[in-house]
Amino acid sequence: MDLVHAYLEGSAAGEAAMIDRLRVLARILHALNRRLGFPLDTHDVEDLTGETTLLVLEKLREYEGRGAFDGWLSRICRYQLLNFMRKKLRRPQATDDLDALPNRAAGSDAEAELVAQENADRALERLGGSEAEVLRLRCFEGLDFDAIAERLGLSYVNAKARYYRGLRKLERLTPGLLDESQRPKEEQEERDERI
Amino acid sequence: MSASDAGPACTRDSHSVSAPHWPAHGWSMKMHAAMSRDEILERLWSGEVDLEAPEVKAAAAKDPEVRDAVARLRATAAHLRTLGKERAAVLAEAATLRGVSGERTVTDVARRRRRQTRVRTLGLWLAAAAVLGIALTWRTWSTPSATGDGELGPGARVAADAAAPQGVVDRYGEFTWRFGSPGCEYVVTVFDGQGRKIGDSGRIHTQTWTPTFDLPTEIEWQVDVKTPDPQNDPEPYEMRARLR
Repeated sequence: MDLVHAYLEGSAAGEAAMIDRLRVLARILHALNRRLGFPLDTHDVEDLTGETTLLVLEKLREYEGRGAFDGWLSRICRYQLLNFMRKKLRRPQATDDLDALPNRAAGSDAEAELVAQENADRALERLGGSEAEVLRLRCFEGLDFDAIAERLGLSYVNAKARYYRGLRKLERLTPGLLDESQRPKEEQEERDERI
Repeated sequence: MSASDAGPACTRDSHSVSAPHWPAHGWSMKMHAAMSRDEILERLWSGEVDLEAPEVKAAAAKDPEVRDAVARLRATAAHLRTLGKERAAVLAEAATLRGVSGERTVTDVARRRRRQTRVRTLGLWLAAAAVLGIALTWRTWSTPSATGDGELGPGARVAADAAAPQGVVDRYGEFTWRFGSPGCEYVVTVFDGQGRKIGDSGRIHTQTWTPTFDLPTEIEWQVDVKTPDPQNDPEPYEMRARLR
């Protein structure tokens, strides 16, 4: 968060530090592209990296510092990559209607995974509040309830309560989140894993 | 789960229970199961217990609705955790990469945007300064002028009415007049109704003056403007005034 503030204040040191930090965008996009089986060629990735850099710089003021900065950048990268792939492959555009999500067929495993990630982010946005924060910290950043409680200024029991309530609301709000066709394959193996 | 484990209260199919026994026996068991379910779920939502707590497992074993609720929670959590692992894997992989070609693009784009932002900011400041300058200039030169020459600097002629008294003296003893040029001095002279001088202000820089002597009911007054170049001093402007 200090990095973001320094950049937004316009200091030369802040600018240099932020630019250095944003180099990770290129690496994240490269890693995503590789994990998805290189759906984009080098030229596409370069273009996408430039577009994503601009988008991140425009949205920096929206970063609230609650989650990890890399996680925030990572979400923007996934979103950008998904849209880029859809534009390139002429796939149907993303819809903001969460209720329509289960009916949307994924074009490929790679795209299905990106769609699943994006759906989860949207579902958490829709859930909002501290319950969504607890779910993000617990499931995406792997924090335990002690750490979550400390991060969000909650009691241990309160953090746990928000976690379970968040799960329940999420499941009710967005049944499409659990649609089988949109889940990564690995998840099926973990489905019975204990929480 | 066998039918005996579940019991009549755990099945929602009333046809599986013979009609004569259902109202009394079935109702009480159903209420007990429902309270137990609500209680256990409430404890779960309040964070008092988690999904692995024995009472939750026991309730799930007996009550299909608890089992279903627990299963859905597990599935949602597992789904999110899987996504979280995938995200962590991407970031871990990204952390190991070095010298990716797009890194240069990030640097170039970020620096270019910064320059553009600075230029835009500078442009906005300049535009604001220009607007302010125009407004001040307009205000300075828009002072009414009978001759319209508008030259009020040193060595310039001053319009005769530029120092025109404001007419009726609204407040007893206070004289005000207009003049748009800084650096000028003024001398206000007051006469009685017959044109005899009563007194003057001496050279003053302000555009208002209150005499220190008493004034008759009817007066005339004039303002002499003293510019930096005496040759350009305008003619005194007089106005007959009546004090209220």
